[in-house]
Amino acid sequence: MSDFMSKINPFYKFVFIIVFSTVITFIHSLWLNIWVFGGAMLLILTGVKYTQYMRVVKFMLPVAFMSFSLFVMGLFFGEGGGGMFGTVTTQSTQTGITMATRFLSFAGIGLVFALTTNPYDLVKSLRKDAKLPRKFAYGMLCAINLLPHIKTEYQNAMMAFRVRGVRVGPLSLKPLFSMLVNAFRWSEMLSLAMISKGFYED
Amino acid sequence: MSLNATGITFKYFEDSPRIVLQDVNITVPVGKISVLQGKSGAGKSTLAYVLAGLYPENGGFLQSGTVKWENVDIHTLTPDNRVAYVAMMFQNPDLQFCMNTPENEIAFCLENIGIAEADMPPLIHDAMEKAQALDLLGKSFTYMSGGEKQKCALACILALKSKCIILDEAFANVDEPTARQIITTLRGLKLTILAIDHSTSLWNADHVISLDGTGARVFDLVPSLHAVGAPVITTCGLSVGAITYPNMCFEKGSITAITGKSGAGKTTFFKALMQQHKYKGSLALMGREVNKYKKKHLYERCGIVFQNPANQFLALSVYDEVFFSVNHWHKGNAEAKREKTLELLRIFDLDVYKKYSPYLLSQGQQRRLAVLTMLAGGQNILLLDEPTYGQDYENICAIMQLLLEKAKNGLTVLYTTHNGALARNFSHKIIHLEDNRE
Amino acid sequence: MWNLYKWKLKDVILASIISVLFAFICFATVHSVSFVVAPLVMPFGFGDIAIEFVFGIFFMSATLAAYVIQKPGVAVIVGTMTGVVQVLMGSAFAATLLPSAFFQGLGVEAVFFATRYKKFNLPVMLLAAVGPTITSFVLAWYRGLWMDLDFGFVATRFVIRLCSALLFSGIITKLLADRLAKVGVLKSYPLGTKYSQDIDDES
Ligand SMILES: Nc1ncnc2c1ncn2[C@@H]1O[C@H](COP(=O)(O)OP(=O)(O)OP(=O)(O)O)[C@@H](O)[C@H]1O
Ligand SMILES: Nc1ncnc2c1ncn2[C@@H]1O[C@H](COP(=O)(O)OP(=O)(O)OP(=O)(O)O)[C@@H](O)[C@H]1O
Ligand SMILES: [Mg+2]
Ligand SMILES: [Mg+2]
Repeated sequence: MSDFMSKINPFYKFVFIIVFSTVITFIHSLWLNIWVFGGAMLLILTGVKYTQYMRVVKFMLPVAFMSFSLFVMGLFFGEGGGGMFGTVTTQSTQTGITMATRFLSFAGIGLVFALTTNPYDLVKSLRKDAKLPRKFAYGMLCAINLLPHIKTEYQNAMMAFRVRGVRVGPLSLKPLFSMLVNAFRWSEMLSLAMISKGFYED
Repeated sequence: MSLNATGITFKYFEDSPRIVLQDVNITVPVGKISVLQGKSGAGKSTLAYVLAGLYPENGGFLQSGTVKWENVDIHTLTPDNRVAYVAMMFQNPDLQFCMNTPENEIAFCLENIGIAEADMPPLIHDAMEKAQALDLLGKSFTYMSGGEKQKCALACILALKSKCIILDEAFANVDEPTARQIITTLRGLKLTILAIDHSTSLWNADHVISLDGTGARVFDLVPSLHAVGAPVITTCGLSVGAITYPNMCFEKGSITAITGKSGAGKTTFFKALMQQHKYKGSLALMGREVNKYKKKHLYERCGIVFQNPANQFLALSVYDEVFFSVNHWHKGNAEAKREKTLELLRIFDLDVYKKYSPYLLSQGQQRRLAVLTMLAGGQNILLLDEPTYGQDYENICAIMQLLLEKAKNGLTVLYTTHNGALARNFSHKIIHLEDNRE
Repeated sequence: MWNLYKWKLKDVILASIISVLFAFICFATVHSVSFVVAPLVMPFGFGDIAIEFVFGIFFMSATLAAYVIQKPGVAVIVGTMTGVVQVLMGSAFAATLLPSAFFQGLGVEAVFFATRYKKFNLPVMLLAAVGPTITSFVLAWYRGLWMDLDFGFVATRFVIRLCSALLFSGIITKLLADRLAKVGVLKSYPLGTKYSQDIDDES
């Protein structure tokens, strides 16, 4: 096994999946869906380091699940279907299968991309190959580098609230608000930091 | 030859009556180390931003004044040309970096000043070496301690090779021995340095500038300490990640200073106590393992002031921030609570800022506010991560006095600091963490 | 006018951070809905519809960023970036997300464009929630083969999505942003200037 997919230029990969997913948006064919999904799985299994297989499984579970739920929806509410727990016809079954495989094909393409591209390289390659202005490239890199930071900051915010005796649940807006405040502070501080290091945004 | 600022008058809001810098004139002589002093909130950081040309271009209003290096007006230059003259390191060690590792960050700096990629590695190596940070070269900023980040930030500034560098409390999170070594290196470079610091002894400064007439003092208050009670926190064979800790014990009503090299694991210990990190071994709070507590119960007993306090504010104004705690923990009618809040704000010199949003305060003020919100709470254990960093003498005393008073009533205080004199004078015991990572 | 088109470095970073932040939120929403809520309703064929109740969350990043930065292009770019980040995080919706994200951003952008980026009051914000509802719906309709589905079923979906959008992307976003302005972190944006005046007077 090799990781040849990871070595492909991220920008070209990016363009490819955009074009490809747009094209299959306009083609409604069961067989195309199956071929695309099969191809994507083949690429994942051969083109991704086997150490990443756990990640593949983690990504695939929700995909499988969603596609099954789409199938059930098509089954009941597709043309010819009889509504909730109604009669199921061959036609509605077919609608269900088409919908489900269609979702799988999209997911397959996306997974190939997600599993073999790291955001850092994508931006770098956008800058090099797509001539993305320096300002945008570094601005995005900034945000990408904040990714791990965001997680710890969220935990900090939750802790800060609890220590002060405020109840916060996973659905409450308060930590979200704290994170937004942070987003603004960060963007201000980071841009100052970059300018102070001689970054010229012309 | 020198960096000259003349007649600087600056405010943050166009139509606000508060003028932060009023007709300030300073001269930073070339090739010397100058230290800038002043009370917390006096406008030192603001002045630094103006000197570095970042304000008013990126915020605030400069009503009069010029900043010149010889005949060059700093404010007319574009950022890439400006760094040839001045570069500045910020007070807050978080959020100074736009890349993920020091290596990439310095490469970014070098790219800004037009250095080819092939020439970078030796320059990067050199800068990291000067900042005593060579071991951090490929480490992610996310996992660095406060002091480690400060060292890396310094390395970036050094890589830019500016004529004048402004360091805003650059070594506040770095241990004293390392800071001294770095300063010796800096001295050898014959750079023009303007350092904002509350201590002059560390810098052995050639030239001291005071923004408001106050000078530096070593912490020399020797309080009479009270007797302590039974142990409340005990550790045995504790380790968090790669860091192992000695066996420690903290008694009820005691004040303990935790010191140690930066990166020794002080903050990590506090985080383990707050269930933010998993640990091995035993860490018991009031006879029960910390990881057995429900978060809710743990946080009712244990309060914390973060190393970067800006992360813990939750109200829209300074007044509300303190009132929130007072309201939650104290009994009495609304008027009494209001009085209590104002009284607390006055102790820490924050009463004039009561309508400010906490985020608009100076770094030192933010830290005092964070301490205040915790002291107003009713927890019986308080963890303070560098509570006195960035504070002037009066404010350190005010903070410590208040802690002492609370400790007499049974509050157990653990604080980290790099201020040796403070730790010696103001603690029942000092725990020095050795750097014993594998 | 030229100034309007020029992004400052700070705007770029802010837009990127908002995208990343909301990518997290959308990701968490999508996965918790598909895993926790959807299984409960799936046996009835409603599995796919559960997401409609929180669909407004997907428009929040574009609306918020545009509301604060108030420059052309912000909504489209932030909307799209939110999608890209989610794809990279390994979202189950993967490649479907990219066109969706783009069209959602476009829907928001269209509304602000119609006001020439001058008006940002509640009605406009509500309209800016309707815009992406329509664009995202048309796309999903075509792509998800909804023409093959029962009309009543599809119409119900639309109404739910619209309500969700009005709530999350119209009302909550505006409330959040206005509160942000009060905290003082927006002082260099148009939205923040009007709050910074009376903090220094005594009393
Ligand atoms: N971004 C800001 N917006 C508005 N006011 C501010 C801002 N930053 C600082 N101030 C105010 O300006 C004054 C000077 O702040 P500054 O940060 O320069 O103080 P400092 O001398 O560096 O203090 P410290 O030693 O505590 O860091 C403070 O009273 C503070 O409240
Ligand atoms: N989340 C993390 N994951 C991995 N390593 C970490 C993490 N957080 C901190 N570290 C590492 O653990 C060590 C101890 O960090 P800690 O923040 O506890 O240091 P500290 O003693 O508080 O130092 P300082 O005085 O500089 O703040 C450091 O080397 C740091 O790089
Ligand atoms: Mg300061
Ligand atoms: Mg620390």
